[in-house]
Amino acid sequence: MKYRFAQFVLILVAVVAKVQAADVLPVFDQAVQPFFQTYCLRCHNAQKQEGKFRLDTLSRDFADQAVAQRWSEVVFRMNSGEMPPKKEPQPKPQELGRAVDWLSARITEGEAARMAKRGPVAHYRLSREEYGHTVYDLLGVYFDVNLPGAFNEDPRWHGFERIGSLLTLSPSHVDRYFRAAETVLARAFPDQQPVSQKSRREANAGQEKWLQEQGLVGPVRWALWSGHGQHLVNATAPGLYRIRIQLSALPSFKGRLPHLALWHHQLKRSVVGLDVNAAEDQPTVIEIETFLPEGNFNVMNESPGMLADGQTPSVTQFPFVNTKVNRPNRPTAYRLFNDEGQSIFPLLIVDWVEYEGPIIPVADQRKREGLTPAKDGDLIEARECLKRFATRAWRRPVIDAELDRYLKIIESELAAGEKFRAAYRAAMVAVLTSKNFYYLEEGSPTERRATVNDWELASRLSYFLWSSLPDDELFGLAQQGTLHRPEVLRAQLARMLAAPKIGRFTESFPRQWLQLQRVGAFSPDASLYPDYDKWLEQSLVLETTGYFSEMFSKNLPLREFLVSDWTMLNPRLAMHYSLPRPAASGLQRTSLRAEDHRGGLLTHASILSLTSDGTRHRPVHRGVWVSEAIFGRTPPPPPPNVEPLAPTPSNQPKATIRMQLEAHATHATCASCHQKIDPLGFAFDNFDAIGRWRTSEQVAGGKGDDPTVNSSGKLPDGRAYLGADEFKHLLVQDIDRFAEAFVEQLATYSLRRVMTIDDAAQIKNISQASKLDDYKLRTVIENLVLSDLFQKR
Amino acid sequence: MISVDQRLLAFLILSLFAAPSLAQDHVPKPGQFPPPNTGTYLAGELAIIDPVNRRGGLRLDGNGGERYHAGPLHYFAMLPYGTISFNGAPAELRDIPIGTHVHGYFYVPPVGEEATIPPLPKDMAQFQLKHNHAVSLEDDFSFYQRRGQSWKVVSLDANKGKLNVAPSGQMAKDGINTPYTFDIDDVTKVWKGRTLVELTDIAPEQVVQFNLGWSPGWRDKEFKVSEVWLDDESRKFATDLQRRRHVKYQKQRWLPGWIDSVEDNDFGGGTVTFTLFGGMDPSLYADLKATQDKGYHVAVAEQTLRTWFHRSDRKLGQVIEWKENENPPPGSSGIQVRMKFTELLDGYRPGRAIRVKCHDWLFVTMPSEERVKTIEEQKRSAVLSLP
Repeated sequence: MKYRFAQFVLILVAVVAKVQAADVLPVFDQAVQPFFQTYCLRCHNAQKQEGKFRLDTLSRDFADQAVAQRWSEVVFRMNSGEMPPKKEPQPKPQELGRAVDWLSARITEGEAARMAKRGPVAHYRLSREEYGHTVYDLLGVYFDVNLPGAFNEDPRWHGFERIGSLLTLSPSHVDRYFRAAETVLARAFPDQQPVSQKSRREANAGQEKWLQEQGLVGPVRWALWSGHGQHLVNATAPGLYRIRIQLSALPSFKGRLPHLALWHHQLKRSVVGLDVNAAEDQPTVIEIETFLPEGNFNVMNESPGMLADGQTPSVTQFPFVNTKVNRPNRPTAYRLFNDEGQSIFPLLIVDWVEYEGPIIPVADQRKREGLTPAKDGDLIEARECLKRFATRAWRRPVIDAELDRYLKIIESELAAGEKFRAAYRAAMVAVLTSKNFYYLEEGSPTERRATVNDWELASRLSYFLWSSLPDDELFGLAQQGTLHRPEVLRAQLARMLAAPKIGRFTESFPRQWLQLQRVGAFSPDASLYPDYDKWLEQSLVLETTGYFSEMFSKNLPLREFLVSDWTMLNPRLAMHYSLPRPAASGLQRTSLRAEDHRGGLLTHASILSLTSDGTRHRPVHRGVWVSEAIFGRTPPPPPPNVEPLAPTPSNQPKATIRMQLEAHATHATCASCHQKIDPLGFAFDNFDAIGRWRTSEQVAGGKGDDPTVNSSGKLPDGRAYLGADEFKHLLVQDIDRFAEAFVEQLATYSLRRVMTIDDAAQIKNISQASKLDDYKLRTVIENLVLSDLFQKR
Repeated sequence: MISVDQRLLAFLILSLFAAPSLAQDHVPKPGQFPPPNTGTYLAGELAIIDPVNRRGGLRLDGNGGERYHAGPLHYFAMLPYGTISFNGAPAELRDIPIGTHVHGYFYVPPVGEEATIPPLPKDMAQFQLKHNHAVSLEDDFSFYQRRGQSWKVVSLDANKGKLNVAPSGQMAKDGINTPYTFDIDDVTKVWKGRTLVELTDIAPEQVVQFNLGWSPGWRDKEFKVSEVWLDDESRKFATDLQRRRHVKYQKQRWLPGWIDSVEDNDFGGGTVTFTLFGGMDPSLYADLKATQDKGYHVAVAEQTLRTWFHRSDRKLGQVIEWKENENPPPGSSGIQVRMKFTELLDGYRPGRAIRVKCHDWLFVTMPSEERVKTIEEQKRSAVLSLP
């Protein structure tokens, strides 16, 4: 993704310097040599060698890790103000900034080149997300890779969690692959097929006598206040379950809908969640079909409020009938109804729950057909079955010599006294724990290929769009050797984009590209943002991935990533944005007005909050994020030992973070970078740390009123803006630059490696070709897939 | 010459001003303090008390239409913001010895509490007084001293057991404000400095305060001096002892007030504004004011100021705002506090009583009879049980 350009200062002025490695030396002489000559070389030359260090002979091959390391040290000392020493002539901030920028860019280019380096065979390990999808598509087994202890979290590079050079393999990985394979195969081919069970629980069951005694008209129902649940579902085996619930769902007095969840007792977290709305006297039946891990589940009201400190009674002591009868009868109970008698919190009132599972869909069962021998003891059939299985799992033809090793496993297991099925299962486990399975391999040791072959192309394509192995049709075309033909590739791409599995791409790519994993990484301070809850946090991400999905399904131009008059909202987000609640409870497209201050990705609360630290918005971090995600450039790192912004003293007037930063940026070593980064973040100062619109900034310390927000600024090229909307429109004027950066992000995701300057020309070609169709999203994807770059090894 | 009509008009006008009972009674409402000087003055001897529920019965002064001979006590309840004084300091009913003569200002029952003092049995219905909710109750010491009135000893006849006194200083509007002869005997406690002295230490020209009690001539508004303080030191000592007792009591049970308003959050908690009741020792308010940054615990209370299990049934909140009104209405301290809570109790409702704990006060568990433990007990405690 991140090949680096010479001058960050030119971030928006649209001049791409196609810097080739060979060009580095002359540019070095122009860009930094005069600086070193003036301020450094007098002490670090052949004669003096201060600190036993010579700068004049330091190699300029930044792709060499040892060299890059030394240059990093040089940058560090320049940046920190340690060099040149105070007694020596000091550079002007602009001079220092230029030199540091240039060197940082070269160091980053070198890093990219190292990360993208490919031998005769390149190995790209599956991310855990891809592992999960792959075993599902291979065997119809849902394996939750996020379960505690299942898999390690994958390392990320600027949000991307599928970069081959980072996805290394450790003994711990091997151990987990082994355990995962055993689990997956045990579920796919169980010794005893789990029996799908049906169950029903009713709140009113057995309560007739009590109702009569009390003189109440029933039925008795289960009232679930915020944070409360009722143990109603048991999953005896992991798998697909169908759950039906009849309930009423009363919004809070402010219109917040109850959030229904299935909460797993053992995992201590919910696995399904949705907003529900149904009047008390008009219950509705909702149906959920979902994969559940084994265990016990509460039907839970996961709305915020958490009325459960363990001692304060939150409900009346007798069964719930309705909200008129069941008011708290003790003043020491929780306050559930406001002074007007309305329910303060969203309330779920459940009548009954039915569930059925585990259900094994026919389509999933078919995936397993022909993969195990019908007859015990038939080694010939076992070989055929295992070959089919390995071919699918390894995503390429399997030669007999390879298979022999696995047949030997069966034989040795049988010799050790194992039963035939268990011995065969051991061989299947070996297939799934082979490097051929968890690595995508490209290239061959015997020939130096510049492009991928059709088998590799099939995998590249399917892991790009489906995060999983190729299906039968792709296999067939790979086998025929025709997949690489443009007309075939185009047709396959169209088919793949139309398949339901494309949802994996529209969810995963924006999450990685926009670094949405960072949403909630620093939990917002509950005392400052008491309204922030887990469902909001999930909804923030849903808006952005849903937005991408809408862009994709409507094939909208890339421009709409930057500006739009619509977004994707659910009721929780609408409440967060102070917008009218959508009619339905799921995520849906909603029109925006200018006064709503939204539109485009940059004003999504997810983006605005992922750069915050939990208490304050961080304009500099926002600026860096814009630089990375929108322009594909990472600014130089901050100098060491930067003093954090101190809270405003109580005797000083309240100051916004911007005011404090502006004071901070007057420091010479800070100013050169901040003047480039900060304008990209200041534009969003009208949004607080969790992305809510504001006109004044809440400041904890200091005296006087909270200061008014200033969201105006000037880009490095001199263009001025007043607020986020104008800023976004300035970005649209540079749509070509954004498009190019977007292609780079897409290529990084699909090719599983960091882009380098070697890729720059092809990225530009893809972008330019897409411009002809107004940079429509599907066109960009198609141009990438049909490009030389996509088939380049 | 004044005509008959003019005389009738003059009579009506005079009647209007002279007889407060003809004026419309102020009816207290939950959440509102009464306007100044609207209570009805009644005095009598504290004959019975229900200290836990802040209720009692007075034998009213004089005979009152054979009331002394044949009638009942005047049963009353303290309003939640009603203040009690004893020996010149804030007090509880339990601090005032049975048999002490007290002065009070009373209102008709507040809205919603009409049944708190049940009607008298039919055979005594003629003695029913509608002003049965007290906004203040004071012993003679506190009542006269607070109004600037003291008593100058004119003469003491120890043999006949008579003490002649004349009012001194600023005259109280209600109560006795003319020269008076009280009964006195060797049971009377006479205080000088911090010591009990002899009756004979009472001398003419001494300026004293006293508390009164029953005398055989009660129907004729005769009283006996039960306790007399001869000098400033003795009075200060008595006041200080009671003040200490009061401070200890309130620190254990927390300062009473009531809720003015509640702003709910539908994600939990909310903002609560309350006003502290008046009549407490200033050091208690000062404790709260000084520890605002630590937040307060707020327990819900009944209108009797009884709590349930206050050390547990309370929520801790952060103080957002502390406001002081220099001229608060009767019953109010003038201190209004706005607090933010992460959880709210059902009893946080406008007009409902609460008790507020300063962070630095120790948690204490009240004995069972003081706590409300069940809904049934809550219902029972809402009504005075006639003896």
